[in-house]
Amino acid sequence: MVLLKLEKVTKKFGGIVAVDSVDLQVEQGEALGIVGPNGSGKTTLYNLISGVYTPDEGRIIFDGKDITGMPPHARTPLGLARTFQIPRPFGSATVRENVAIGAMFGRASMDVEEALREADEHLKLIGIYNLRNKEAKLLTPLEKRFMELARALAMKPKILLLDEVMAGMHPSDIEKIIETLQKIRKEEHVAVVSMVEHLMHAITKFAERVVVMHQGRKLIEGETARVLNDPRVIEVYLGKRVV
Amino acid sequence: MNIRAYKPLIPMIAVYGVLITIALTVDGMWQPVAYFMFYIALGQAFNIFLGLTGYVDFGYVAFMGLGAYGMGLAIKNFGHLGLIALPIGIFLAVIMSMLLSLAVGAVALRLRGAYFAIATIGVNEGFRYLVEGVRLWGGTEGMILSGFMRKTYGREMTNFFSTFLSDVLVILIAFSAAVVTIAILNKKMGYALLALREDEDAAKVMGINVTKYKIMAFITSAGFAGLIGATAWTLKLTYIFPEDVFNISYTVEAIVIVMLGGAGTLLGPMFGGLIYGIMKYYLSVIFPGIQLLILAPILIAIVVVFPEGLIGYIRKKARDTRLSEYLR
Repeated sequence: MVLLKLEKVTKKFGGIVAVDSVDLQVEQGEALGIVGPNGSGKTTLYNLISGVYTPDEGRIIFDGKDITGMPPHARTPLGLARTFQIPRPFGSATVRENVAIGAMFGRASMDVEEALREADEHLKLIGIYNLRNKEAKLLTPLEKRFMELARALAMKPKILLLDEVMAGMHPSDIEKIIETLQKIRKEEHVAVVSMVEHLMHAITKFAERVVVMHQGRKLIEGETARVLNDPRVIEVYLGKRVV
Repeated sequence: MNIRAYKPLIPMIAVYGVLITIALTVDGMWQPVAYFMFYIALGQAFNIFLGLTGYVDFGYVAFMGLGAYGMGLAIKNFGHLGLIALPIGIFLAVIMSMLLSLAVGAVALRLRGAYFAIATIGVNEGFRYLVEGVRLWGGTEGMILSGFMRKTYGREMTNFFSTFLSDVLVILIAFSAAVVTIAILNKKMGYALLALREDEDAAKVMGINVTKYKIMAFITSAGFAGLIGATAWTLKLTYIFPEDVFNISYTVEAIVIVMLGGAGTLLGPMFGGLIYGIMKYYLSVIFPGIQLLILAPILIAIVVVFPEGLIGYIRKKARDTRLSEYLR
């Protein structure tokens, strides 16, 4: 079943076309990787899906509903959750409160008591339970990223949009995170879209399907191993062979 | 409802108890304590908006002014019906200030930071010039109610209103504002406001309807401001002049109190209001005329040493101890 569908979505900033007529489909419970170099339009794509921007052209359908013009706070309860490339914790709140806020206002829509209990579960799952009473602004950048993941999961989304969530993590942590993501995918049929710039080995382990973005357009999409070995993809990252 | 989450009201009730005991037992202390309570109420009411949302409203005093007029209009128009005019005045004060805040909030709360602050200064000044310019509610001559009140209610009753009842009502308003504050903090709304105060764009993406929660906090805070205007001004002073009730210095005092005690905390406005009120009162007794010259550097020093306010600082020190349950 198609969960998220983008139809010819375009977003321009002045003269720059950040996302250029992109079509994209995400199936329920799918593991999709979006790769592309810096400035290829990946983050803009996320901002369009989560409602930070509205597209200049095209439509976005989520779970059978047209959400193109919906404000972000109305989309999230339908089952969207995302992390940010540069983590955005609610700094003066504790880690536990941060995650609980996810459970309160995401699709989970829990009341305060329930959400705080739920937060503990997710902190254990991600392995940062020991940090729960710390102010979020005191975390290291890496810990903040773990916290954002816990917060997004606590929202009980149908689709989880991860923005460079594994960048800078220790390989054993990446392993653990991928394992957790595969588990929620299988058990709760959550579609996980992971966006990376350079962590190709993580993507090969995680994604069933990959979309490569380049200059705001979809360059190629398909099965992970095949796509990442495509000469066009190598060219985008390394440039043309000159000798 | 989780009773334990309301524990921080215990230290508050204790402080109120001490203040009221002093006021009732020590000769000549009723009026000073009432003066401190006015600042506590002001801080507690403003904190619901400034402290919980992080938005600075420089036009806050407009809601107090409108509340004052609400009570004035009620006494003038319904005074002949007897004491029923007072509850009508309370009702009018709340409704008028809330309606203005809804109108202002629906437009201005779409602005961020300094733009919001500047827009709200305009509201206050605009309202004052409206009252003066179109001679609304007496224009610049204001409303002088003392003669009318003495005639309608008798001299003793009027004195009772202005030297006792109005003060008791201010204490009740301060305490109600505190109860509302902790109820908000313990509910989803409190967490929504915390999130939007920290990062409004991230809060939106997390599913929080930030405009809704900001307007809710704004209206609640404005309603309490209206109550303070109706009681601490109209009922106590028995006159209303536009240049007094739309005087921006009250807004500035409210900001100082909230920052001093700790923005967004429950107990902060009480300690902030108490410190500010005590210093302002006794400095003006000891150094009449230059009290503000001495007060200002002291306030700056406190804010520099405790940027998160007094309660914010103590809470941080008390984290992970049993005391933290009583601090909010």
